[in-house]
Amino acid sequence: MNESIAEKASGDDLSGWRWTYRLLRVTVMLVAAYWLSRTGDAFFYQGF
Amino acid sequence: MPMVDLASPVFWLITLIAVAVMTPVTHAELRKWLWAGVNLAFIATMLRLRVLEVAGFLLAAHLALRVLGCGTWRRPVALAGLACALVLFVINKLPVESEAWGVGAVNPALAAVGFSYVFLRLIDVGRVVYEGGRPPPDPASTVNYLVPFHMLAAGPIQSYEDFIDQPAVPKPVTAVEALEAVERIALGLFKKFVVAYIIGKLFLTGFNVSGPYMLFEVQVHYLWFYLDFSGYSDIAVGIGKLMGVRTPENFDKPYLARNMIDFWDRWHISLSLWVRRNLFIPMQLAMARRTRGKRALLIATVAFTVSFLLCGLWHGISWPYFAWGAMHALGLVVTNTYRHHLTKRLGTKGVKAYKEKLIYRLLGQFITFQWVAFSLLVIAYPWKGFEP
Repeated sequence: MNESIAEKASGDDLSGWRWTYRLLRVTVMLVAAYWLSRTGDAFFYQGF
Repeated sequence: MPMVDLASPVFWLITLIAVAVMTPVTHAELRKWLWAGVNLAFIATMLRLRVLEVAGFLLAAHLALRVLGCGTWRRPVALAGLACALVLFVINKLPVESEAWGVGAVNPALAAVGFSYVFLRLIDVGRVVYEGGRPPPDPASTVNYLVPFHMLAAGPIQSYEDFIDQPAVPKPVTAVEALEAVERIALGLFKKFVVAYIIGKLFLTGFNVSGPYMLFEVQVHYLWFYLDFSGYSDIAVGIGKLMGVRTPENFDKPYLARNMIDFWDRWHISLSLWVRRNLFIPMQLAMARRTRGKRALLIATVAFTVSFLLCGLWHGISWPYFAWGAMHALGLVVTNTYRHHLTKRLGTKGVKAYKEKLIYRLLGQFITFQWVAFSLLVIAYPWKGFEP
């Protein structure tokens, strides 16, 4: 029974909106990290 | 000398190559050597170190470990190995002084590989092999244990037992597991390069302020430090999952710790476990043997104090780090003593009821948070005359 629950859970994870949402979230985090690691100091007001 | 730079495309290119090269390989020996090749390639390309020199050091370590594991000459080799590792550690920690001593030339290479962590791994594998707990590593495993590229920057510090006990060929990574690993890497990068960075830029002044803002900065500095450091660990754990290389967890919501013992179960867990295995337990056992099991509280007090003073000096050989270690030792001793007297007075059931009371939990969390935050102030404060 546990196995079927695990299979169902992993199947759910890989289907539809949940999968898209997770990929989108990863992309946003990666893009933000990349952008700030490159342009961060220029982005912030230096006189603070 | 280049350092491990997570913002560098070279780092991620090597990570991708490592995953692509290692994932399809199911032959244990080949996989081990490929992993060693990746680690050495990382040292040559990202850190631009001379591979032959690094390989020479690793070969010396490997031969010493072989001797440690085979009986004859064990003791003198253990002492000589410990002395060599300590000398390199001190050179690494005192760059200015090592220049004056005429041995500064090796320092850039030690700094580039993050020798502080290599030193802890050397002690761990040396102790385990010396005690006969596990066989000495073969040449490829020596490379993979001592200089794993994804754990060079800021750990975690894997135990030798955990390293040697992991399956030679891991189970294939499923699509969900791969997504989880990438999510973990993305979270780490986001914590470090976005959240910690913004907090640092907006609120941190390097403690060049006074008054109420200083108190505020102490709190924010702890949060910033946690996000930056745990971000590194998230990235290492994520890369390890993708490559099928066991990489220990290092943080578990340390800001919720209700006392200092609880804190060290949640903060830099791999260092805390290293201190337990290599300092606290050996000292505690040695003293317990001498006192025939009496004075357990006093023994624990001495073991906590010595372990955490040394832990402070491992972070940096300077007074601020020594004071940081002393603060943590004091916090641990007070927690342990309080726990001892509370159990004596209330009994096990009484302590359980005490722990469940919300007010005590919140009070404990607040005091622990402040104690840790102020200990970090001690090492980050721009003391005049010190370079922490």
